[in-house]
Amino acid sequence: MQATERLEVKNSQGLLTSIGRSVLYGLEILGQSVDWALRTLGSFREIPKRAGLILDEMVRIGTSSLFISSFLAFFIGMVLVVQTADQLEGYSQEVLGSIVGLAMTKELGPVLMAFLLAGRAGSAMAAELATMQVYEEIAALRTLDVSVESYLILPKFIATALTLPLLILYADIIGILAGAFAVAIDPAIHVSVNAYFHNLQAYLKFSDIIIGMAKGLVFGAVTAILSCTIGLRARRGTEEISSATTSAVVWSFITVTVFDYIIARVVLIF
Amino acid sequence: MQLKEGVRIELKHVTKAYGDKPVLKGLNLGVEAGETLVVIGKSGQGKSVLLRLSAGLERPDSGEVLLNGIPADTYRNISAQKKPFRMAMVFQGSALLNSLSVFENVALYLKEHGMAKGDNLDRLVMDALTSVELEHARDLYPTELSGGMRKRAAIARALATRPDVLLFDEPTAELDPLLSAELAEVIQKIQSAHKMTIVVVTHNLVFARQVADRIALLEDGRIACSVKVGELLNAEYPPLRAFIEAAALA
Repeated sequence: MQATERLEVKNSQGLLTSIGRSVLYGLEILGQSVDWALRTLGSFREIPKRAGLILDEMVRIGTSSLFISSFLAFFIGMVLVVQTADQLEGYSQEVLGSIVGLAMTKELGPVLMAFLLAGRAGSAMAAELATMQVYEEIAALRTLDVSVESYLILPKFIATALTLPLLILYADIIGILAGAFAVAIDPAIHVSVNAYFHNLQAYLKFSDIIIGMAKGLVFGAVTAILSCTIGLRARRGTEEISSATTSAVVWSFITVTVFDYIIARVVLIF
Repeated sequence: MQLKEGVRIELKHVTKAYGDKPVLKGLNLGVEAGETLVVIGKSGQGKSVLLRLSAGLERPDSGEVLLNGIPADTYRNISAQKKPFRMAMVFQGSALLNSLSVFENVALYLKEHGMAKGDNLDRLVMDALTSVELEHARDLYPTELSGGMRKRAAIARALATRPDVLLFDEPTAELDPLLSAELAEVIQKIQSAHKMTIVVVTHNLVFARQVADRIALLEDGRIACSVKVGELLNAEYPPLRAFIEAAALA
């Protein structure tokens, strides 16, 4: 084949070629993530040795997300009340408490906090590891026989998986309280704060809160592994650092959504 | 510190390509135990690749890279405590961990593998920092160091592992001639204090002459020639002569 023909074939950008390339890219990321996840799980015995690093990461993730998560949860809680009350106009608004409580704990809290964490901590992890890869710090660690999975990934993995459920619990509380606040101040809502909490108490089960937090554990672990994998894929040049950051967020969003569906189905079976 | 025996490095018929681009094309090279070899060559000839293969950071597409007879990638997978000898590498951009202070960077290997703690760790790290005259910078972070200091901190980190083989990737990159001369002195001091095998890749011939026992020219993916440093100026191989003349050594 002539060189020019080869170039044309390589550069052809048909729809099927693009789809095929995207699918292969996705499978590659998935395969590498599973590989890193297994290697990280294999280094779990080193958790006590990395306790300090895990704690540092938890503080970093928590403090970077706390303000924005409060803000987000507060307004989501209020919007839920206002929108639901509007839909229930003419019916009973007594159910507001349970709707806000169940929506926050089972769905909105976990998914929104996971998206927030992917945008803040996930992108930061991908950028950090991509920078270390591009500037040969990862190679330097290997020459020092320092395990990348144990020294770099494990603390981020554990810290993210533990911090996200706590953030979700925090967001659940803020969202529910914000809902009560909206009930108290909005003249269009004809239900008392007492009735709101009474209804919440009647329908919200402890298991709903736990399931939401368990989702956070999975979402956190998935976000950490994906972000680390994408960061470590960077090879040359600083432009790969910024593309790793964006990719980590996009892939985390997609994967969290897919896992959310899977967990919801599994929970409904039981 | 204890004198080292050094390690013999052999690269036999090594090929390495990235995508469609062949970089090393059947390269053969031997580095004797205790020798300081400097590999020179134009940019993009694969000098750093040669070093990464020697360190076991990458695998050759074909051929063998042996360290005292052990394949480099096998050596890389042996745990730190069980390695029959130690190899360290100083990277082009120093590759210090920005989240750690100079002291913590130098101490990392010893702490990570439980090889020293307390006062002993402190002494070993300070020995390494003193040998590169950087003891005053122990509490600084890499972002607070000049290019020359970063390079010396990276050398101290390598020395703290008490290596038998030390690899330098473009050590004078981004350094002015005065700092390059200073770095050459540091390497000469290491050579006289420790009998280790040293491989340096650079395109800086002035620096190469200061530190080398032997200089090899990498050209078109192969070692085109190698000469003892004393014979460099009499070398007749045209590409090497071109290097010598460009560096205004003759």
